[in-house]
Amino acid sequence: MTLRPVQRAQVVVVGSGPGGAVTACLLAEAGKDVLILEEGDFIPQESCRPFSVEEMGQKYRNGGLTVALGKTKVPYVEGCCVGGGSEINSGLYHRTPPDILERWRREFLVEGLLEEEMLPFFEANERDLGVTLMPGPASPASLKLHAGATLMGWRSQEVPRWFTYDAAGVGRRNSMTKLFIPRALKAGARLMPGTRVMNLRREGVGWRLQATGRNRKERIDLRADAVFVAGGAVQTPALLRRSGLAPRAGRSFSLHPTVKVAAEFSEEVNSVSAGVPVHQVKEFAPHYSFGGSVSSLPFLSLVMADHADHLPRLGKVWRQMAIYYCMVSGHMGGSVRPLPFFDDPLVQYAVSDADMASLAEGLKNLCLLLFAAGARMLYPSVPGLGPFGKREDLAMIPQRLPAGLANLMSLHLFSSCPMGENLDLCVVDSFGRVHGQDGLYVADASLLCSSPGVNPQGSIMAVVRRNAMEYLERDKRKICAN
Amino acid sequence: MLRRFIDIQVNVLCQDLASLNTIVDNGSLSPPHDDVVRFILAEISVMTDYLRLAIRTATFIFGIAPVLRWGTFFHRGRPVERVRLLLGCRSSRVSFFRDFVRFYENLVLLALLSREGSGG
Repeated sequence: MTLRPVQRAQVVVVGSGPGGAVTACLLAEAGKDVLILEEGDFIPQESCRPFSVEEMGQKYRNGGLTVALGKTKVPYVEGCCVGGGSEINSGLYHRTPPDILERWRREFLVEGLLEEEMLPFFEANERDLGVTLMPGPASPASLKLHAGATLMGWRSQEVPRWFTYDAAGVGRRNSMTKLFIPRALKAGARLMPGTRVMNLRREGVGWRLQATGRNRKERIDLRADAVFVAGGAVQTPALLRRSGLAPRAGRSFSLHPTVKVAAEFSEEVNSVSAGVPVHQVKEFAPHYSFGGSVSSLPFLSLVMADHADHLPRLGKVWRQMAIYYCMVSGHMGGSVRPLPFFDDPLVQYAVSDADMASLAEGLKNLCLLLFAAGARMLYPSVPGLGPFGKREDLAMIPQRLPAGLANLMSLHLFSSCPMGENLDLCVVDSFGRVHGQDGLYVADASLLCSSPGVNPQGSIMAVVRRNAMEYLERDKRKICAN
Repeated sequence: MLRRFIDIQVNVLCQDLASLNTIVDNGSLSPPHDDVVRFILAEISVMTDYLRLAIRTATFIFGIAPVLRWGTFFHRGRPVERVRLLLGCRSSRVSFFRDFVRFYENLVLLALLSREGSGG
């Protein structure tokens, strides 16, 4: 192992996903000397087709083979590249629902979280990201979901995305490598990809970080006045726990348990270039909501693998098929903790009986919607259940999805270091500073107090923008006082 | 030595699962399936470390278990016997067997149907 000379920075940001990139950008633009450390590589967005097996190998943590263990296992994915999750997600944008902000304020005692206080941060991010609706019609699969909801009398909406569209209406995601990382670098920030922080410890009035470089063959020592940990809802608590800095970190980890159903229609709704459907049904929010997933042939085959007898037909009918999901809010039933002798943290999540009941109810309603939209066959991702050819078949869906049998998944992880002044529940204060640790901050999905009930990236970016501005304000006051 | 034995089991297991899944009949899914095996070995090598240990251990046990019934390792069994075993595991009442085959089958399907010309 080789040893690199000690590096110094005023502020080190660990992680370059939406939380880390926004934080680094705002601090660098305010004149701070910022160093961004990222475990993954810098890979251009155009390096591979979105949602492909190549992307799994290049940009997903652990090649996409990550799972929250429990009686019902919940596979999840995280980005591990410069830009983090923003490089691999669908770019759908939601503000945090006002009732959720109010709940966080009331139960977790988060200061500065009134809807009107958050509004400027949502608006600033939306401007920077170019959050917009599609310029043309949505994909046929998306319109099917909307049509079904309309026929059922349920609330459905097109969700805006952080996309830029060319004259032909082809969209490109405004991910962190397109926006905030270049801005941060332009403002003088430095970026070290391929750097994994192993340990953090206090040294004098600042912080010392021990990291390893590419392929773990280099040891890197860093010093900083302040550290923002933005490794995501799994890696952030793991680092804090490994470093012995926040024993509560990771104990309230949560996710959105999701069940899928593949719908077969009489007409074509799918194509090689079909993206992610942009409509979502929020009639039953905050308990559960419906949306559409990537429905490429490889992904369809994964849902259809639960119905092996029907799998051979897939090659002929996949253009008439699309994948939809029911996502429930989930509860704080998970944990993240480092394991002795292993590098990767142990992630556990117990899907509650209430979640299983919501998933069953949601699955039934989603199937009703899809039949209303014209589906002729539905294949839920629950082995032994279905397929359903008519509405009457839905009586087969039990009151609760069977634990250990349903093939659930999740794309949204959060709440492993909740913010607020309630010391019984919160790991960090209202503005992201780790309780009891001066100069150590969290800036990612870990901060969210509980499930936002919607795609969380809009919430994460608004909260970290607010926290970065507060950090700069306090820093200015400190300098003036001195 | 042990690692090589496990890789051989993965190779044979994945080749068998690939030949079971003839979803597209334009020839794009025909053998050889070396690309599929390479993808799966690469995925296993980067997966969460404690799960990697678990899947390699399970694959090792899966490789040696047929000795009791066939008198030889899984990879040396007759193709028809191997396929029968895989189908039995796929629909087993024991979740360990189901999950084991499902893990490999999912990766095989992903790799196979991502091939140029498969339509996806």
